[in-house]
Order: sequence, then C-alpha cells, then structure tokens
Amino acid sequence: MWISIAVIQLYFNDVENMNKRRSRLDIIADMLTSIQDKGGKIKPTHLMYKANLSHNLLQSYLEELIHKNMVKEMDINNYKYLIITDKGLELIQNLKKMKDFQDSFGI
Amino acid sequence: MYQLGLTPDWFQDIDTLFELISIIVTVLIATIAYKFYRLSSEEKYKWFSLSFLLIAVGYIFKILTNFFVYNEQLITHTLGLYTYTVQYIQEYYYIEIFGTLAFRFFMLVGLFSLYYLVNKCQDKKTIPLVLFLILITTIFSTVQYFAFHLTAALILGLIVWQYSDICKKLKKTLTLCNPIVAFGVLFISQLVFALLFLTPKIYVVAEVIQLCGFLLLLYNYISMMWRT
Repeated sequence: MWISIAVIQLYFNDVENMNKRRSRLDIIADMLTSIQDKGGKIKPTHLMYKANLSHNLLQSYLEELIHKNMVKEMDINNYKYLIITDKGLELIQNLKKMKDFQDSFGI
Repeated sequence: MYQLGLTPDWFQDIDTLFELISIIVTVLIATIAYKFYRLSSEEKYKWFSLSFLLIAVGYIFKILTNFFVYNEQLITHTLGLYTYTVQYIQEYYYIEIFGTLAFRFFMLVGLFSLYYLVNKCQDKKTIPLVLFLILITTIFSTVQYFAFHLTAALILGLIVWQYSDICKKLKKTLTLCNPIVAFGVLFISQLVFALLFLTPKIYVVAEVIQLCGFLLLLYNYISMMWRT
C-alpha cells in the first residue's frame, strides 16, 4: 500500500513539474543548451523539437538571440544552421551560475 | 546610560579586521546577486543584493565608529587644554552614538529584508510596521545593548528555520546545508554577544564565532562559483 501511495505522489510531483510554465530565461537557456549539446551547431527544425517550441515562438526567440549576437545563422552545404557564439556560451555559464546561486541560497 | 561594546584592549584592531572580512563577504554576495538581477530582471535578486549591501553598510559604520572610539584617547592627549579636551570627548561621544545606531539599524534592516525574501513574504503592509519596530529597538539598544543582539538573533533564527523548511520540502539538503550552517553560526554569535555583560572576553568569543559564520558564507559563495 505504501508503495502505491509513493507512486501516486511521484506521479503528482511530475504532473506539478510539467504544469510549471518555463520563464523567458528558461526557454533561452534550453535553446542555447540544445545548440551546445549538438556540438555548437544545429538545424532550426531540430532546435524547435529539442527546445520544445512552436515555430512562431522559435522565430521570435531566435530573432532576439541573433540580434544580441548569442547565435548566428550560417549556410553549410545548402542547409541553414544555427551556431552558438562565445557570447551565447558565456550566457549559458552565467545562467548555470544563477541557478546554482538560487539553489544555494534558497531564494 | 549609553552603552558601547566592551572590547578588550588587545583585541581592538583585530575586531576591525574581522569586520573588514565580513564587509568583503557581504559585498561579494551582493555584487553577484546584482549581476544576476541585471541578467534576469528578477526582483528577488535585487532585494537579495540590497539585503547584503545593507549589512555591509552597517559594518562600514561599525568600522568607522571603532576608528573614532579606539583613537579617542590619543587625540585628547595631544590637545592638552582641559576645555578643548572636554569638547572633543563630547563630539566623539555623539559620533559613537550615531555610528553604533547606524550599524545596528542597517544590520537589522538587512537581516529583516533577507528574512522577508527567504520566507517569500507577499504582504507589503507589514514592512513599515517592522521598520518602525526595528527603529525603536535600535534606539532602545543604546540603553540595553542586548536588545539589538537578541533581535538580530531572532531574525537569524527565523531565517535558519525557513531554510530548514525549504530543505525538507525540496529535499535539497546538500545544497542548502551551507547557508543553514552559516546563518546558524551567525545566530549563535548574536546570542553570545547578548552575554557581554558577564565579561568583556565574551566579545572576543562572539566576534570569532561571527567571523566563522561569514567565512562559511564565503565558502558557500566560492564553492558555488567553483562548481560552475
């Protein structure tokens, strides 16, 4: 019986986490980390799936990231690729630090 | 009667050094929190930064007051004329009172704002009331110094309590362990400070414990930076 209660609790915890909306910064972090995980370059469609975004949302976030020089577009073998810049990598690092700070001080 | 901390003579410059270390630690944490505020525009980082900055400002006032208090006799000695000496003592007396009051007020406001943030309080109507009570406590502490230390201990105790609650809820005992211990040590130091009436040696013990608390916060800061 205790096991089944624990399973139900775990299920509801997962549902609770799933229902949490990602903040703007969470989405940017997910996008940049997805590019980094793919070796620094990714196709836009792959990024859309990896970061779990709609086409419109991806476009609006990409515009911002390209404008801020975090990501740049490049054509390789007639395919459009998104490449993470040093500034983008620096942002990932700072976001990780921020998350760690938040966890460390419980705020 | 106005009461100032009873510092043993041999410890007079050492405690200033301790205070300086506390300022460095609090300013470091305030700076990184402000950097995260600039990055995320989240208000909580701004208030966290401000809390530590207020504590740092408090310690700056304490160092300045210590400077005047410890050098008071030297200045009166060089003047020579009795009337002038009395005048200078009067002036320094007011500086001591102002500096000590400023230290205590900023320290308590900084700690309260930290508690408010950690506790995720939403009700802003209580802020003026608490600020007024802090002001009253600060003024009253010139008569009974332990009023300040007990109030600081109370707020620190509440912060530790809140942290342990967060730990239980999130089951993140390892990451939050350091601030719990650090604020717990600071809480103990304030309780020890309140026992100053027993013997001036207590001041040394309390200062050392307080330094340990700030060093633990520094350790938390460094390990966090090191991890990422």
